[in-house]
Amino acid sequence: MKTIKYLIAAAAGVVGLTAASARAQEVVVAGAGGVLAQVTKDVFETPFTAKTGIKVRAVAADNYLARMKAMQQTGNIEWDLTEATPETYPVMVKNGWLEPLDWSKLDPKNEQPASARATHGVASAVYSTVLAFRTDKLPAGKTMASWADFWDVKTFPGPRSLQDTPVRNLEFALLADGVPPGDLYKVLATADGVDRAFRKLDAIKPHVTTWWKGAAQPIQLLASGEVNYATTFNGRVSALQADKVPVEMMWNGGSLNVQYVVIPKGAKNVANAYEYLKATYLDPERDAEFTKKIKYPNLDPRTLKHLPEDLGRAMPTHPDNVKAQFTFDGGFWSERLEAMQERWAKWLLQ
Amino acid sequence: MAQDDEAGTGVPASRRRGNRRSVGQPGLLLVAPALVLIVLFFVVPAAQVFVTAVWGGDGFTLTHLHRAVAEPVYGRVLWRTVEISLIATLACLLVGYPVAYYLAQQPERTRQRLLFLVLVPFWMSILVRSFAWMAVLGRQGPVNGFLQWTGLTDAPVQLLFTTGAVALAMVQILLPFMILTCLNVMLAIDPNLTRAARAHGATPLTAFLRVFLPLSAPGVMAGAVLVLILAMGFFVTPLLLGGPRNQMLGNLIVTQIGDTVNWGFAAALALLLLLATLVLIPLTRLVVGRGAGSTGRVAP
Amino acid sequence: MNAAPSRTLSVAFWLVIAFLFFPVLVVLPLAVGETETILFPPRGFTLRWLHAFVTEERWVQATLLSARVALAAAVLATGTGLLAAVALARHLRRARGWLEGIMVAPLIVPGIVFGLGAYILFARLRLIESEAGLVALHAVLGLPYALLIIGAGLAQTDETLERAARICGAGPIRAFTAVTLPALKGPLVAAFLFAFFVSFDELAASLFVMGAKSTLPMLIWADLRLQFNPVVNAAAAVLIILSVAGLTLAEFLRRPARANP
Repeated sequence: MKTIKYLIAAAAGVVGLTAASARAQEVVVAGAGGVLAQVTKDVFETPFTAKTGIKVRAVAADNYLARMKAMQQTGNIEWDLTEATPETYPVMVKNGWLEPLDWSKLDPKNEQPASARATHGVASAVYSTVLAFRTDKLPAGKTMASWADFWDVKTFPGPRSLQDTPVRNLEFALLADGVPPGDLYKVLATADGVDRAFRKLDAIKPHVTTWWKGAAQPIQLLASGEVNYATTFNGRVSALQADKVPVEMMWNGGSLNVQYVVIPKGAKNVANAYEYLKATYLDPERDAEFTKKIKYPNLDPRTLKHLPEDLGRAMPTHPDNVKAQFTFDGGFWSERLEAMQERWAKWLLQ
Repeated sequence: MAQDDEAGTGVPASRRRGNRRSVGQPGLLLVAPALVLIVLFFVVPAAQVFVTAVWGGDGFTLTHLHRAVAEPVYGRVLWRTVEISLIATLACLLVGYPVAYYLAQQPERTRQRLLFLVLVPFWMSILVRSFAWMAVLGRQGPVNGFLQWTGLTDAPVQLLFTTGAVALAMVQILLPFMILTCLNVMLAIDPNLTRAARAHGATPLTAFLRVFLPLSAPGVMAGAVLVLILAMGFFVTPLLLGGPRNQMLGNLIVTQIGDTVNWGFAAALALLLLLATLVLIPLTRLVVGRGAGSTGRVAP
Repeated sequence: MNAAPSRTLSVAFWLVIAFLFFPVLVVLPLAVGETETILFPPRGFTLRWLHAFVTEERWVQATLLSARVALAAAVLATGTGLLAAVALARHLRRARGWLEGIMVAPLIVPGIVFGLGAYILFARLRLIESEAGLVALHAVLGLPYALLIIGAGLAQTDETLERAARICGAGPIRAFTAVTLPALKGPLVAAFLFAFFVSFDELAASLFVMGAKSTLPMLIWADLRLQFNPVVNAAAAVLIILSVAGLTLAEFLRRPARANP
């Protein structure tokens, strides 16, 4: 019985979905889901629908790149807006999976900084990959101030954790080896530079008890005291502090990452997507509201002005923090990711 | 397997074979729904991905397969995958069989209630269970606390991020599969057979080894094969609880599909995993079948 | 059985149960702990996470969706699996090898490969977000269990009894339902349970083909990716308590019915 019911439902679903494309005024936004989806709904979607009458359909997604590729292959473009990380954005642009943006429509008064006006994406969230450490596990009177300290296992003994990827770890290794932040990608572009980074990583490898994969992991590892030092994202450290875990993070040598919101090529509701972008990520007041809940602001300096002073200081985009970090180059990695990943896998197994 | 059937049913093989006339129509009709389901919703989708291993934008290619085989790192990861899967399967077999045997001896009502206990952990997502193990096995977790309290160690022992941690968590997830599969076959064994052996003077141990164990062999085999196959595909557990050496091939396939979007190579790696599993299945059958069945053949 | 080995066995059994319950026993207290990360032993006491799980719409909807899909997928898998197992055991003995191979294949193919393939197919067929589509995908994943377990059960049923029933005048269907089916009760229940839980915990394919409607594992995954959310523990706690309560209730209801028939 149930089977028959479902078969009928399936047939109805096919008809219903084709009809849905004709449905008026909506915009389909694909995001990570979870807590982020909840905040996005409260701060962005509900006010947007109230103002414009355009309905927002939030879709939880994973494997963005794979889905973008499949969408272009099958010609069924489900999404109007989605996220692109600093790593995935150049891949999407290169493969022609994105609609180019018309900035004269998005930002007619030309108020956004040049760095935010990417050809195919709106810089939506800036986050940092930083080193976080347990202050109670530090040797008395000492604190970690640089990647060289992280590599200094004599002064700072104890288990460590890094992400299981060559991306950013090679940069951190070179910084620890004395390469100035401005020269990072110049050095990494040479075979010698890559060898140098891996050699530096050799030295720290025995002290890395685990290589984390998911963002929740380093937080858990620090909280339970499994490791004393770990790389993590800046937004998560405050949650640990709220749980009264004695942790601090180091802006110095952090990786400043810019995430984009993009429109897949062939999206069904491009005009609505423009309206949504203008009312959310491109509106400093709205973005500040978002940033109060999730500490990843856009690149617009006006956003910080809407934040309380101490919160503004804690943002990766605060001028002091920007100065301490290097800007992550996703384009550099998109060209080399596959070969580097193979080398990384080999190196890990050695 | 056929031999075990005969022992179970007592029907001479010749008689059965004589009744093979009902071949054809009813069989096709019965298998059709499952076959349609599997072709439409499995063969077609999976083939779309697997074909990219040899068929790219420029037509037929062997580059992906060649890279998967020629680059030793993938073989090494595959070997580790096989290794941990075999460890988990063996552990499940050794622990699961006695549990199933115990359950099989219980009266029906008691058995149902005990079986329910075995199934309770299923309500917890594997993800959540893996996180729970992280808390349990951590340096400041209860296991280390207990070890220090008893004085067995005075400093925390590194339990997490070891092959042992991965195996432990895998066994916790896979054990119910082994228990249930074994139990089903055990319940179908006529208790009179063991009783008859006892009546003819066999010790309980001999009756078990010569009658019960061989008769339960199909269940043991099905359970071992099932657990092994499932273990080969694991990736969340080794990812959260394993060290760098506990990488499984599943992890690399996920990276290739999601991060580098090189589906051709992902498909090639998946084929590698598939082939390894296909080789292991008959091997497991052979080894487990020998172990459980060899004593049975001598039985009168 | 001798008393001594059976006592040893019983001790071993309870040790194994303790092992199986270990993570459960960790999670249950954490569901009422105050911290947002997994800290053991738990600190403080709060009903916030439990409250969120039973009142927040996204959790409730996701749990109901998962239960609905798992139920339908398990029915579909067990039903088609039973028919196929009978066909393979009784009728199609010659084609058995490759038919069984195809139907067990979903166990072996990595979830993400299957998920990606399903996504490409569903995008072409405009089946994305379709609950029925997800049911079909999950049924396919449950089918191997049904086939293997029911097949193992069938291998031990006595075909002669069924034949005897036929000789006594029963039709083939009647003979099967009256004689063989009751003997398959255990395997059928086991197959159904496996298929149910496989669907209930399935993530890879769901992540690809669903989105606006999330299943429970999808929500858990989304919440674990960014940060640990204790509601995840609460979800496990509520499901376990519900299932234990459900069983107790069933026992309670069954008893008076037995007492005075």
